[in-house]
Amino acid sequence: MECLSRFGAAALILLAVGVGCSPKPVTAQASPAEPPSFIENDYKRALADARQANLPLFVEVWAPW
Amino acid sequence: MRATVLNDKALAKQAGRFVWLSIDTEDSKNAAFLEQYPWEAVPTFDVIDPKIEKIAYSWIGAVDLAGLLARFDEAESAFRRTDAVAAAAPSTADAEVLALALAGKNEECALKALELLPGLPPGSVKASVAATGLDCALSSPEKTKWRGTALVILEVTTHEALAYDGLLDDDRAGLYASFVDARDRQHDDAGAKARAAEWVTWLNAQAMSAPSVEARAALDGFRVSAALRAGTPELVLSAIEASERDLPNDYNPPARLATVLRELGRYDEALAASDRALAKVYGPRTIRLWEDRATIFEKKGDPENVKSALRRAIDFAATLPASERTKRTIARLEKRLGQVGRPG
Repeated sequence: MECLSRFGAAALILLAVGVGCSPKPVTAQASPAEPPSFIENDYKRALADARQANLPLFVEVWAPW
Repeated sequence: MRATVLNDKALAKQAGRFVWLSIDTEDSKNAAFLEQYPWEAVPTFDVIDPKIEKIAYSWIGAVDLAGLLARFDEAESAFRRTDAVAAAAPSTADAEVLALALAGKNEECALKALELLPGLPPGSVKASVAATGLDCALSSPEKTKWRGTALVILEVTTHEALAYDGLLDDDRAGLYASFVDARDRQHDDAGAKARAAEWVTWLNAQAMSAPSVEARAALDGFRVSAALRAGTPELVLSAIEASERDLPNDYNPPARLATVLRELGRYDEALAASDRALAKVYGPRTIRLWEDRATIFEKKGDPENVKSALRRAIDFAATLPASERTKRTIARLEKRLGQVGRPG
């Protein structure tokens, strides 16, 4: 599997992205000035939240290396 | 992108447009998701209609903030459509060229890049089109008639893009990578080494000016690649050591440190760093770390421990879900194991 920078196919370089996201779901935003909080590694929960809120589900698929 | 775009406070106003999910491909608890929504490369971004569990919009690769905002709009439009038969993709020139590249259509990709470049303003999209087109041209057969001229144009444009304003640091690092790669694949060892040295200089300046630990460490993978190609691993040692201090739960810094120390001939320290990385790693990456450990023992001249490390890699690979990829990985490791101790 490849890790792509913006210049993905050109670089095919492994990037270091080992930075975790906040575990808070977007439905529990603490402050409107903060960027979206991602639900981590829990598709069922995110799916249920999205259905309840009638919103599309935005998924970032990443690797820690 | 995680360290520089997705955490941008300018995204605060977008929070209510989606429910946001992050999926770590190395985490076994995401196996069912990844089977339902297969991926080719990371990062991949999918916008899923939760009612029918279908992808409405998808793309591969990082984008800057402006590009991300535009893709949010397109994703919402795709989500609202009820007649779509397949997932929509971004409409931008860079996405078009990247899709051709990922489909293996190298000639179409390179020629499309050449067609689009003159009409694009300097910026991240143009840089991406040039670099992706360059990779496609390099991947085309050497005897192809159009390839020589295309390489000149695409390489010059990629070089010019290094001076564009407003590029993300990882965009610029990716451009340097393309630039070094272009020299290597045209059999210009001295040129590649010289460009790698420029890359290291730029990366070290970035390390000093990065706005956060995460933004600095996000380029550590590039840092190691650049330094190894330039033949100057000592120049990135302190930045990787700083990442290990600053991100104590991350296996990547000690894993990278093991590689740098190995190249410096400091094998015992490299093995100690490998130990620290292996104590933290999880998922399929574990295989790579055992292989890297085998390489340290190989350089140290210790074939018994090379075998032992490769066996650990094979044993771990056997615990992963059976797939063609797993079979290929195990076959490759067994081949390497069979070659240990044989003359080169």
